[in-house]
Amino acid sequence: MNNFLDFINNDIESKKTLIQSLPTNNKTNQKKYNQKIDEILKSYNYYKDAVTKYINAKSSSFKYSSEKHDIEKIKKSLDDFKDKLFLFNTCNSFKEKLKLDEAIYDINSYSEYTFEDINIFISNIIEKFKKAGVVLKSDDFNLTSYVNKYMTVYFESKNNYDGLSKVFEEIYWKNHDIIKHIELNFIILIDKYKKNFEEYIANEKKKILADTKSSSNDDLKDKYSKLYNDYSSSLEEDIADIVEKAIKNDIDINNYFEDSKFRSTTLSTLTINEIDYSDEATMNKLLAVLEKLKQNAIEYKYYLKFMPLFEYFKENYSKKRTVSDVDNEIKKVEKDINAIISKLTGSNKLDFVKNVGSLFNKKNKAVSKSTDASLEQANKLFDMYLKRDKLLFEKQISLLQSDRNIHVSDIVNLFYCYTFFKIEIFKEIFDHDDPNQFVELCDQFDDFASNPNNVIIKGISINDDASISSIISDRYRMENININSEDLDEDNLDVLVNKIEFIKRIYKIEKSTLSVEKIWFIVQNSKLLNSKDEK
Amino acid sequence: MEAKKDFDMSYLTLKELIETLDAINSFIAFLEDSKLEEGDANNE
Repeated sequence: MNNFLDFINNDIESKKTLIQSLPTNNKTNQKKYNQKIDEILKSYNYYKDAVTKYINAKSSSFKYSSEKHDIEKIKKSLDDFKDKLFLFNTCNSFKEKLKLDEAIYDINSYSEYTFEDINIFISNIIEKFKKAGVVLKSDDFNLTSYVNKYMTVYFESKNNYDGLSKVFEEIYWKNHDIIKHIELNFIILIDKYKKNFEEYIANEKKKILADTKSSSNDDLKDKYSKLYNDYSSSLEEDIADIVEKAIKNDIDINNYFEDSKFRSTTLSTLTINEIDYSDEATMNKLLAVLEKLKQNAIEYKYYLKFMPLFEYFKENYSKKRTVSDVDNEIKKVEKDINAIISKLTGSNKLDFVKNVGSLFNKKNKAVSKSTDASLEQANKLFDMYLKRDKLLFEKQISLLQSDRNIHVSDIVNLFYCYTFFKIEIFKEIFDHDDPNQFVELCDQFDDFASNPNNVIIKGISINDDASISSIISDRYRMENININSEDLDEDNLDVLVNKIEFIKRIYKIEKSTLSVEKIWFIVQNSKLLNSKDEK
Repeated sequence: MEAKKDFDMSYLTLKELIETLDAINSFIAFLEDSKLEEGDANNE
């Protein structure tokens, strides 16, 4: 039997000896020397070509399945379901359920956006009213004559921004708070059409229960939980993902060989008492435990990440106020709001009845005086509404506090439900210099809040001093996992999760049609092909 | 000097296949480095 490797090794030695023995003392000998080298090179390039082709063919012969999931489609279904479930949240009002608070916040942050963006935000809010059966017109925008002027042109322009831009320019230098007042007008309209919105939500909820064949809110949550877990499963690595990661060097396949020190150390230190890794039942049990540990570790990582929020809550909302106290304050503010609205209507009446046409006529002192009065009242009103919204938010907290001890999960849910306050407070406690990073942080918080598998935060009271890392590690030590609270330090959590992924991969490779050696070979072949392409 | 044509690689393990290619590549590099520029040594 020819062993080609032995042949090559022996041949190389003999060729080297031959080359070293050739004379090179003159031009003729040098020429003969080079000719000999060229002959040998020709043979070895032939061998190289043959071996490379063989390696490529052998690598391509390794078949493995790829569990194709339409991840985008599953994610969209999950996100749609999440939006539907949001309507059923008991923590918030119609404003938050329909994301009217978010839409108002967008206008509120107008200095961060372009003129076109702001008009899109206005359009979005008008659309929300339309869905609830309310078709807004320019007459609805009567907070100040400037607001009315702008929105009249808005409705006439039908997305042609040139005309809008011109009237905005005229108004802005007389009333730089115009956008704030448009926002305020919307807030007043939202209050005015509260019943329409609440009816719309009630109908939507009935539709959702019917469409999803759910009998109750809890049934809906169970369906969401299943969909969430389906999505999580679709993200799990399969053998094709492992091969791709090995080729890209995202994982080092050498660590997976049985004789690898990394592998043997990881396995030997994983459990307190030794286990038989070759026993299928033992492995299945271990993997189930490790999967739960991974979920807990990820949940705990988020808890640590958003710790500043929980600290903020303790500092600002730990003094319990009774619901009736907060309610009384809300009533007082609403009384003040109504008083200002009636004053505004009174002072505006002069504008609308007589002088809309001469809005920009400085010589008309009566118009100027009443316009100035309306601007002053509008600014007061803006502050009153903000105060009311804060009190409504506080009322929600009082309701939670009156029931029982507040858990971390309650705070997470509260801020998930109140986008406006989430963003305001996040801006206070987290770095927000990079807008993209800030948006990502808010999205991560929402992902954390909407994970139906959270267990740790449901059991921790906001005033709990217990070491959560010890609670977790003690639990898993009972399952024979060799873990201490230090392994759950913030800096070590990723290491722990990577260790769990490493063990899951070992098992997946063993269960597949490939082996560690075959994956290693595929990687070598891939490197060969890449180096050939570079040349 | 003709290259050997009747070699069979099917008996090699995956690691040995890569080792074979590595050895060939190393030797090719050695040969290319060993070539002389004419006139390196003393003239006749």
